[in-house]
Order: sequence, then C-alpha cells, then structure tokens
Amino acid sequence: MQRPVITDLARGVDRRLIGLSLVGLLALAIGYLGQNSWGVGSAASAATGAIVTDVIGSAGSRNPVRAKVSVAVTNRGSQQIRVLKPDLPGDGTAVLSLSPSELRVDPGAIGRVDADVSLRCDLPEPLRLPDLRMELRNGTLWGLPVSGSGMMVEACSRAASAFRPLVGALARRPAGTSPATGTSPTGGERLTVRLHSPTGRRFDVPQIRAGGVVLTMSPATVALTGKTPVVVHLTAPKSCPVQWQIPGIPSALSVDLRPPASSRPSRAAEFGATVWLQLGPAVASWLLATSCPAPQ
Amino acid sequence: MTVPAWDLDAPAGQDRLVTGFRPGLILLLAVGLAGLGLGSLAGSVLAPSAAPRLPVTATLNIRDMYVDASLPGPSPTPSEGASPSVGNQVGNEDGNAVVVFRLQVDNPADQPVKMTALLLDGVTRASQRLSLDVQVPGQGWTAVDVSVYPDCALGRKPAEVRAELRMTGPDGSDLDSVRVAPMRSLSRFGGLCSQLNLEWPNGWQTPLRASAARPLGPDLEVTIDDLPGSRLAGALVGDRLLPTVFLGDQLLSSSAQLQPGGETRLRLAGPAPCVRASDGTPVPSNLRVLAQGDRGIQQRLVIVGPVLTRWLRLNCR
Repeated sequence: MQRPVITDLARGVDRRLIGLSLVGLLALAIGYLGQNSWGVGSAASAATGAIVTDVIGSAGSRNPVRAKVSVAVTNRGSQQIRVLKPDLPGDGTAVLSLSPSELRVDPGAIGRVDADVSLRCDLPEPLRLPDLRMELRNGTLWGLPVSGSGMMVEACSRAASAFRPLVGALARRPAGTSPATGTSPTGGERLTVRLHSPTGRRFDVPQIRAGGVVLTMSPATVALTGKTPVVVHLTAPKSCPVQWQIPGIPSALSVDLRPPASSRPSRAAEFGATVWLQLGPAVASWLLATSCPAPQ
Repeated sequence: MTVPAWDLDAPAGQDRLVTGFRPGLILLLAVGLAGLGLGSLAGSVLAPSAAPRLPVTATLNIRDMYVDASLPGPSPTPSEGASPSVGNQVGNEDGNAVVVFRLQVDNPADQPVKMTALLLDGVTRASQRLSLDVQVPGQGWTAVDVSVYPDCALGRKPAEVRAELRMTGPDGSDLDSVRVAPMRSLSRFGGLCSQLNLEWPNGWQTPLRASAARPLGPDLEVTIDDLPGSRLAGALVGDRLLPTVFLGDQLLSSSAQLQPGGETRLRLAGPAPCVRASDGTPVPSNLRVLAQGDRGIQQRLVIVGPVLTRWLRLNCR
C-alpha cells in the first residue's frame, strides 16, 4: 500500500516543530537564568561604593555624641542610583538625617552626602555606620555598606573626656626633673605619658607624632585593652625639624589609632583614626628643650 | 529566488534551491534568539535583581603639611605677576610646600588587590603619577602615606584635587581603575592650595628668614639681613621706624632700625606677649610684618625660629 504523501509531510512538520520548540525552550531557559550575567533586559548591574571622607564637629558633653559625617558615593555602574537614609541603626550609631535627603548619583560620578549622626562614644564596641539605602532605576532597594566607619572615633575624641577613645596625662615627674619630662636611665630626656581609654575601647597605637614628626615610642606599639592605663615614653627628634618652621612649635600630639591586631581583618572597625592629645604647655616646653634648645 | 524561512508547506528539496541557503537553520536561530530575549525579559521581571557589586573604595585626606626650606631656592625667572626674588627669601614662588596625603583603601572583595599607582590632578599644573606597591587584603583595608609637592604659586588658578587608583588583581591582571574620593576641602573650588592658605599664616609662600635673633632684657631683637624690594610700612622717626608687626593675631609694640642696603633690626618690646598653648595650637616661631613692596603694602612672613618661641610667655594669666 502506498503511504499517503500528506502523512510524510505531517511527520516532517512534527519533527521540525518539536525541534524548534526544544530550541526555543532551551533558549528561554538560558535567557532566564543568564539575564543577570549579561544584563539583557536587566535594570541592575550596579557597582556602587560608599566611604567616609570627613568627620566634622561633635564638641560638647551630650550623650550620644552628635557629629556630621561626609560620605562619598561612587557609582561605577551603568545606571543612575538614588541614595536614601538608612532605616535601621548601625553599631553604636544612628543616622538622624541626610543632607541632601535624597542623593542621585549618575553613572561614573561621585556624589557626596552629609549625615547627621548620633554616636554612642561611651560604648567600648567599634562604631559602624548602618548601610545606606540605594534605590536602582527599577525601584529595587539595596543596602549600601559604608566603608571607613572607624574614622568616626575622631568625633568621639572631640567630645567630653568621658566619651573620648583616648585620654592622656603626663606621668608624675621623678624628683629633680621638670614637670613635663622624666629622665631616662640613659640621660636623654623623654616625655612620659600615661594613656588610657575611659570608655574601655580597645585599639593599638602604632604612632604618635608632634607637628607631623614621628616621635620614637617605647614600647614601639601600645595596645590599649580597656580602661587599664598604659605608660609610653616618647623621645623627641634630635634637631629642630623643618616641619615646625612655619606652623610653630607643636603643643599637642597626634595619635594614630587602629583596630587591635587580634581583630583584623575586621569589617566592623575599618580604617584607623587620628586623634589629638592635648597635654598643655608642657609639650611645647619639652620639644623646645629637647629638639630646639637655645644655642650654648 | 529566495524562499521565506517560515514557508513550512514548501515542497521537499525546495530549501536547497540556492546552494548553501538553509531556511531551517535561520528558523532555528530566530527561535533561539527569540527564546533568549523572552527568557531574559521574564528573568528581569520575575527574578530578583542581582545584588550590586561592591567595588574597592578609597579616600584621600591631608595627614601633614609643612614648608621645606631645603628645597631649591628662588626661581631664576619668577612667574608673571610674582614679586621679584629677594636676598634671604626662603624657597621659591611655588611655596615649597610638602603635603603628606593619607590614602585609605577598602577592599570588600574576597581576593586581595595590589595598588600600583595613584594618579593625581590639581596638585601641580600637570597630572602626577605616583608609583605604589601596596597590597590590600581581601575583606580588609590598608592605609598608605604619599608625599606631594603642590604648586601653590601666587598666580596659579585654584583647582580641585582629583585622584584615581590603578590596581592589579591577584594574578597580576589590570583591574578597573578606582576613583578616589578626596576629603571635602580638597574637592571644593580652590582645592589644596586654599587649604594651605587657610592653615598657614599669610605670606607662607615667600617667607623671609631672620639671620639672627637675641633677647635684650625683656625685648627681643630680630635681624633680617636685607629687605630688597620691600620697605617696612610705618612711621619713620629719624632712622627709627615703627613698623607693624604681628605675632599670630597680636599687634606687637616694636621699633626698627634700617641701614640702607644692609640689615634691618626689629626690636620687639617686652614683656613678651602671652600665648595659649593649651588648645593644641602650635606656639608661633615666626612674625609677620607689613611691608611696602612692588604690589603695595603686603604681609611678609619672617621665620625667626625657636628663639622667638622661648621669648613668648606660655599660658600666663
């Protein structure tokens, strides 16, 4: 019996249809799963970072301490983003308001926003800003982590002494020495300072400087582990440094703080901070006597 | 003759009328592309957007700044509009400022990156490239200090500081460069030089250096070898001048003795003024005098040194 022509044709069409359907389904699946990778039909592909650039203000005795924190938002993605105030508090911090309240950052641009922040400087835990809220073009909201929260300790250092991360005092002078200095066994004059953290904050002190000049420390690195005072001996430069020519003789010390070695790497205490230690006229007198003495 | 790809009723063998032409293949491709497009569309609508990537971020702050008098002396050809060089002027018209920037970099990725260069605009007239060789650990941060010599010549147009970081990945491949976010004062109009002007006394770009200073009883005598191109502004009584001398914001009682073509002696009358050293402000080691120059009366900074600091009274009542 001769097969009807129409049956062959139908079979051929069936095979083609099934094949095409399979290809279509496969492509559909690939498109669905892969759309985020190549961005076809996607509103995402955002790459955005935020970082603290300045910490301003905070003088006063109120608790929590208030400060203004400048945050730079870098948009390396392909779409404009909107940055909004966080909903939740951070670790020992809360963003009270943003200025501007809504920041729009174009692709490839850096936007800046000032955050009015309250800080629990009295707590020993590291301070960390909450994630800002970032809205994509399609309305999706994402958290935007802010780097450099550790710099907010600088605001605490300008608050009342009970909230400061670091307080220093001159050690009692040995008999027969000037109020500012202690005489070392080697005969060289060193400034002896007692450091402690009134709030029990833990950090390392890798460097102490006067007017941009590094002072030799003994011990070389100080680890503050709570409220226990630590004594550090400072040696001034041997000659009057060029750094002091225009500004004058320093009367305060700048102290670098960084998260304790045991906690690194730590996302919660990113970046070190530099705080000022004011010990009165003794510092200027000591530097004058040791580094810039009167010619004999 | 061409046959439409969708013509499924075409007789068998019709699709090979033209050599190499395969309508079935085209149909396959069309269906595949349509599937991809529809799938992507469905994916973008139904599936949640991918989390934004968190790139490396960096900030640039001023750590220290000072004037280095040991840098090359006055420019042999002063820039247009600048005052002529003077005998014991320190440095050149650029100001000889040295600024130490602190670059802090945060790497939220799991893999470490290596900083290879920092590109700076707005510090000098030309762009600068500073080589770096610093590793930033994955999920970590790093701080590095770099020294720059800004051009703060009086005639220079103010410029904001822009910075960019070049990096390589763990395998040494180049990564996308990162725009650094400088502190606010560097980003605003005026940039770095405005910040130096704010921090330092007027006339820091072209200071004079006292050749000698000595206490005379309660007074302090400051000798400046010569003031070519400048004359102290004030009343001249015989050969004695009553110049205008500032120490910080205080106007000092003083007198001056001039020798034509020779040295100028300033006598600062005692008792020495009282300065506060408890608020962290440095104790001055220089003076400012008002001097008549080519461009009218202007402030000149005179570096005296620690002798002046010792003469001052600290935190007196």
